[in-house]
Amino acid sequence: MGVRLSEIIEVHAGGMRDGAEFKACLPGGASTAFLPGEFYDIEMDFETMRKAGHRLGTGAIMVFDQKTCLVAATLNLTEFFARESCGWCTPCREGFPYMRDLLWRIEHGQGQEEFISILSQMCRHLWNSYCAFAPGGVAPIESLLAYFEDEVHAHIEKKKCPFNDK
Amino acid sequence: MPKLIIDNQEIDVQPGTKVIDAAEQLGIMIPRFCYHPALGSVGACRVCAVKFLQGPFKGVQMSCMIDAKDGMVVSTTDEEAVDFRKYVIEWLMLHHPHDCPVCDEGGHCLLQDMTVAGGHGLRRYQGKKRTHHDQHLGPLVQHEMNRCIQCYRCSRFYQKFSGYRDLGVLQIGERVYFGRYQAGTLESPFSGNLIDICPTGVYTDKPSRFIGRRWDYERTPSLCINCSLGCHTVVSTRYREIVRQEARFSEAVNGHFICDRGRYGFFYASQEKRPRYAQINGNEVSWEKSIQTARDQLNRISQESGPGAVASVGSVRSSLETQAALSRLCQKKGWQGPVYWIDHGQEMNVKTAAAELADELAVSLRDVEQADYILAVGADPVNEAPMLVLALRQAQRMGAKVCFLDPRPIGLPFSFQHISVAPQAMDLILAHLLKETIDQDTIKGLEPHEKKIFDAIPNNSHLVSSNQKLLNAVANDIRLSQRLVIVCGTDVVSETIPERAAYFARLLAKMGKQVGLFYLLPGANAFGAALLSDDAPTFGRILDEIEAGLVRALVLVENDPYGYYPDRPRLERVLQQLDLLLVMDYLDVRTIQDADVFLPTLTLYEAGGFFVNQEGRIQKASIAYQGGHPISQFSNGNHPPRSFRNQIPGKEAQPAWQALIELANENSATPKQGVRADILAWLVKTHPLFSKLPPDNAFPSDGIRINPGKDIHFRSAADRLVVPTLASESADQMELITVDWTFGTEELSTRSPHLRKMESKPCVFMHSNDAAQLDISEGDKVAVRSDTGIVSIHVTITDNMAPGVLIIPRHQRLDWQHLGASKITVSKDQIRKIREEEPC
Ligand code: SF4
Ligand code: SF4
Ligand code: SF4
Ligand code: FES
Repeated sequence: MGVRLSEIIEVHAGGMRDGAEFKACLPGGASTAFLPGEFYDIEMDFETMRKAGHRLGTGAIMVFDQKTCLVAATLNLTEFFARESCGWCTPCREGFPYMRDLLWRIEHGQGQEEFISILSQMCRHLWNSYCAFAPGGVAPIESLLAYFEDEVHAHIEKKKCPFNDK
Repeated sequence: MPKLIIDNQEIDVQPGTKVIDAAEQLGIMIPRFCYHPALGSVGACRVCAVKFLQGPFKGVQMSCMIDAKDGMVVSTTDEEAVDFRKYVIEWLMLHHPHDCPVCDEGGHCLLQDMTVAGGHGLRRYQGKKRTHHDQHLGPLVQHEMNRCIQCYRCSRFYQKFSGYRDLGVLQIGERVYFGRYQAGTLESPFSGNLIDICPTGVYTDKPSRFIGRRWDYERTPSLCINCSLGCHTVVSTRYREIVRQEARFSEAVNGHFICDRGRYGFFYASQEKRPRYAQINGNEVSWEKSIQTARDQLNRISQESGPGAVASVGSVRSSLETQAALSRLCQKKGWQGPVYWIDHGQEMNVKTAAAELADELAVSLRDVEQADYILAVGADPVNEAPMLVLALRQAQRMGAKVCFLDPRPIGLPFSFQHISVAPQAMDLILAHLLKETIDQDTIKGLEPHEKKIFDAIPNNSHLVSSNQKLLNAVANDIRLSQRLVIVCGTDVVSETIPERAAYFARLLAKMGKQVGLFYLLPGANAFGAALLSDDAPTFGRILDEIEAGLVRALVLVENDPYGYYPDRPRLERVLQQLDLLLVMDYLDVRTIQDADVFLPTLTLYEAGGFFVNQEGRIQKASIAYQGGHPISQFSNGNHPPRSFRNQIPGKEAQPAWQALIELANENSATPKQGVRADILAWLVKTHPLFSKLPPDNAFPSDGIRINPGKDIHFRSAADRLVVPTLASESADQMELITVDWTFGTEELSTRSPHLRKMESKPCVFMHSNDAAQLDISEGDKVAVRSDTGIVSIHVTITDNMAPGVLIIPRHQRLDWQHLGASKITVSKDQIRKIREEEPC
């Protein structure tokens, strides 16, 4: 507890691969928010994370480098939540597939500007789901929009994924 | 009482009231899909979101999940809540087929209403729609799974509320599916309620598909008369025909639901074969001519042989008005009758029940749900009074134990105890149970006549000892309970049972328990008949007197003895001997063929009327429509004829009470107005019990209860409880009883083409021990020989019934009326295995 993120990555996990730069990480599994570079030195304990507006979650850290498209990563995570929703309540059962569809369109060059506001509204509304699954599940999307909105815009403007040159 | 503010309006509500209901009391209808008063709050659909501004909760919350509390300030119009609800509707519509115009729910669809109300009109989602396969769920319920909004009402009703397991939710996430593991007819006899509770068009009414839209129908509050419970219904009428029946909420009787026998049991009213014209000797004549002829002949016979030469039989399915008009007619003319029961044993049971049902013991169907112990004696709910199953189930869900004392293979969707003994042993077992249960103090305090009955209960017999363990356990449970209900049947039980059950109930009350007594009666207005029937004659005696030439004319009012009298050859013979057989009915009964004069009468949908259910509750059915042939039949499905006529075709039929009044008059100049009021006035005068009857326009929806108690004039009001004994038991003898069955035996519902598809084949139930002894296997055909004939029938073998008993449902397609009596004893050599093709 309290070990810095940078230390975990560099010392305990053997550091970034050659040529890879830290872009963001999920500090505690699929239902935590992306932690961008500005938190690279954060102390990994519940209290500090909470103060920074983040959660330690499961503590399973997933690191993304500068060449990774975070829209694609978020799409992948949302795919998981859409599939694993139990189906009990409407926001979660229908909201995740809806957002998956929007993210898929953005990632595949079919995005539209208004998708961003729909996504952020829906994320907020998914907090009114029956259980804690959905509020957790929207964390990656929320943080994608909070920290990497430019990346999302770039997808929409270029009508393709900027990380994918093909 | 919590006081809260909703949309700036203050309201006090009962503790435990949900905010959604508190708002409704203010006239604010918060949208809802998953919430249903009978199924409770589950918070699944999330469309009832409102914003909590002050109080113990803050922010957007589900109003169906939160109890109203002091100090709450709630806004239903808050921007965030409204926006969230809009999203919920949008989510629900993502995959929804946009085809209301061809959807069977269109016009009475909650989703349609909410979508319009929520203002969701533009589709933003560009993805593909998810689709599902539909299932064949049998002849009653249509399935269209693509319309589902996953509110879980259906699975909650089907499994949790009712206890049936063959329909529910499968899979997870977007793929949740509501249906059966495999397509197939729904097993629950309450399946039709899926149609009422599903807020969309997933489950719709199959028989009325493609007939019309909700707004094409005239909807009228009505009653179900397919059993004695008298559940509340709404009938939808179109073009002189009932096309659909739904449940109508009743606080006291059926709650929100009805059974399938009731829901689909109305088709008799528009049967093609329904007799619509008056007849003399089988030839159509005018109503007036028929009345005149009947009146002349009845007067002549009465003059020649005295008024006692005319006998009358009324019906337990007639309205109170008709029953009263018949009594009045008989009194005025001095005729014999009315007799209401073809089976005298049943008559005694019903009258005992009506007499024993004192005000302080009577409970309603909904009261049964509150019990913590239910003892059912000689009652088979699913076959005799289906909705009682759901009431028992609610009690059981709340922790009540349920015990049945009955020979039949009782089938219920929950666990219960079953003491299965032969009918003739039931009184002894019940008496013993009572002896085990009642404590010493109560016994000491009994009145002498009660004490005498108690002391007459014999000590052990081998039958008791073989059931001792179970009896002890049941007695112990009863002693530990506080709110008991004794349910008692009147069909298969011996004559002492209804009284013994009441005696049991009174003693339990003396032990300080809260006790209810709940009888099941044969017929929707059997209670009325018990109050109004004449005590002197019995149907058997009338037949004897016809044979002896003493009775020359018989008036049958909406009662068909061919359906009930267990010796058909004799009945055929005897009816031939009459000088006049006058038949009135709205069904195509067999007696019409024998009738000298026939008068067509009206159903409750056309005539309305009062019916007294088994707890003595007088309820009112309104007139749904008037007129004759349904247009669909009259024009063969084509455009109705374009020519004018001054009469509606087939409208000659009149209420039976009208015919009876006309018969009572000296000539045909009958006043057409006010006659119903005259009958009711007569009823109040002769039976003070009815003096509480409120006027038609102020009649309460749940009716009023009249419980005569011992004041009822009754043939043998003295206690008939004697020492319960067993007739000599012989291993060679079997008791044969005939019984009611959910689908297939009841006179009205068996005329429904849709329920006919739900009937199982006629059969005789036999215990596996007996079958083994007789070398009979499942499905074998046997010939049962009685003193008066032979009935050949397939065998169903089961273990959850009393050994030594044969049980035959009185299936309309089975000529069980060759048995000679409704209960007989047969020796085993009277049961013979026959080959399938062998005639009897
Ligand atoms: S279920 Fe309701 S909203 Fe859906 S198509 Fe049918 S009528 Fe329209
Ligand atoms: S089938 Fe009807 S009742 Fe069942 S979950 Fe779907 S919408 Fe609700
Ligand atoms: S329980 Fe009886 S009265 Fe109620 S709906 Fe069924 S048949 Fe009709
Ligand atoms: S009605 Fe409250 S969540 Fe469905």
